[in-house]
Amino acid sequence: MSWAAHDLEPYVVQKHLGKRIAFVPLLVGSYAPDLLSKWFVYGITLIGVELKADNPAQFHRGWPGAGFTHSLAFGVVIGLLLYLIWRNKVVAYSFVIGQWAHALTDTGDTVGSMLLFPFTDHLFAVGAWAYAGQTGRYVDAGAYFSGLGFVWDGIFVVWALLSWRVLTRGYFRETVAVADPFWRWAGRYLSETTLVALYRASFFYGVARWTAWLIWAHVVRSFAFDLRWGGPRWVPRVYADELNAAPACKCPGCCSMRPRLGFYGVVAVCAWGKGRSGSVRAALAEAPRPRRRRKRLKGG
Amino acid sequence: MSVSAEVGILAPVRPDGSPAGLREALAAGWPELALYLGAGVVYVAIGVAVPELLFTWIVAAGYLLLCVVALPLLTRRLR
Repeated sequence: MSWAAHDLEPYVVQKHLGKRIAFVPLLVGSYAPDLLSKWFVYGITLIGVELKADNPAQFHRGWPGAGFTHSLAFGVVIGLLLYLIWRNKVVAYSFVIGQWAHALTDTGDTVGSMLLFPFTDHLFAVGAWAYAGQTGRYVDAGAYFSGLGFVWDGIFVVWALLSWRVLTRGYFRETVAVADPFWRWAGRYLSETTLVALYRASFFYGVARWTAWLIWAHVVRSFAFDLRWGGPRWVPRVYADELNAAPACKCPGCCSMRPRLGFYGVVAVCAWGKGRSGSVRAALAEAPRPRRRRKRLKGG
Repeated sequence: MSVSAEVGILAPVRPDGSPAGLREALAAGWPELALYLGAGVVYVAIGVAVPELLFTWIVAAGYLLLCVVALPLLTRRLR
């Protein structure tokens, strides 16, 4: 699981898609997979009764369980429902993009997510940091902010800070509020200063709590840093092959390569694609533009 | 410190509509930025002392609204 990445991903997406995305459904989509299940993973006590999943990792990411919320199909189904309700394509696909970002980000830990459910219950896991949700939220926080998880979140903190332009009041007024019907509705009741503060709230939350958890884990408490792949190794970890019915997955992803190699491969392909799109853009910019034929107006 | 409604955090554009650089934007929007940074520093300090508060988005959003909307408004009214 990721802690601050889900707060910050929507701002990075917003920067790249501008008026083609609606921010509120994007943000709700980014939170959606954990919205109704996370409390049961960590457990709560209500009137002296403790409510907690018997197998938190299985409940959170597996099947049977609520792991279907981390599948790509779940985003599409909810997106279609939103489209049926609001008849607004931008709202629908903004939710899908946010939910997909969450599901893909959560493949980073040792449990991963069932991306292709219901076609397969295979858990796609890169295994970069330990899944330790079953240990309770404080140990989980300490473990996450001691392994590569906090580095991953740190990348999103930097990326979101580099996207500072999307936080400006002018950008909100000219891009965010124009593309998202929620802000037009809320603008009837709230001042622009309040709307802008609400728009920035997840950014504030993500950056501030990333900082606070790091200080808490390593200054207030003494959790040991362990930046090895799959770490920290001092915490009891859960692995993808311990969940779901199939003890050993036969899918090509599991048989042909190790997850770490797969991760490097994806990074290499993305870098290659980015470079290629840049060179294509440069070539297009340099190419002579064909002259457009002007329609002759018939004299009247 | 009063924060004008028109001075945005990191004011984004020049009067002619062209995008401003970071330095220019910081110069125009520093009072509001300082307000957010102050709120952030206090939130981190409270969060480190009481980490329970770090789990809830609602608490963070409510706290932010209090710091950057309600308190400046109250300060302006009292002046």
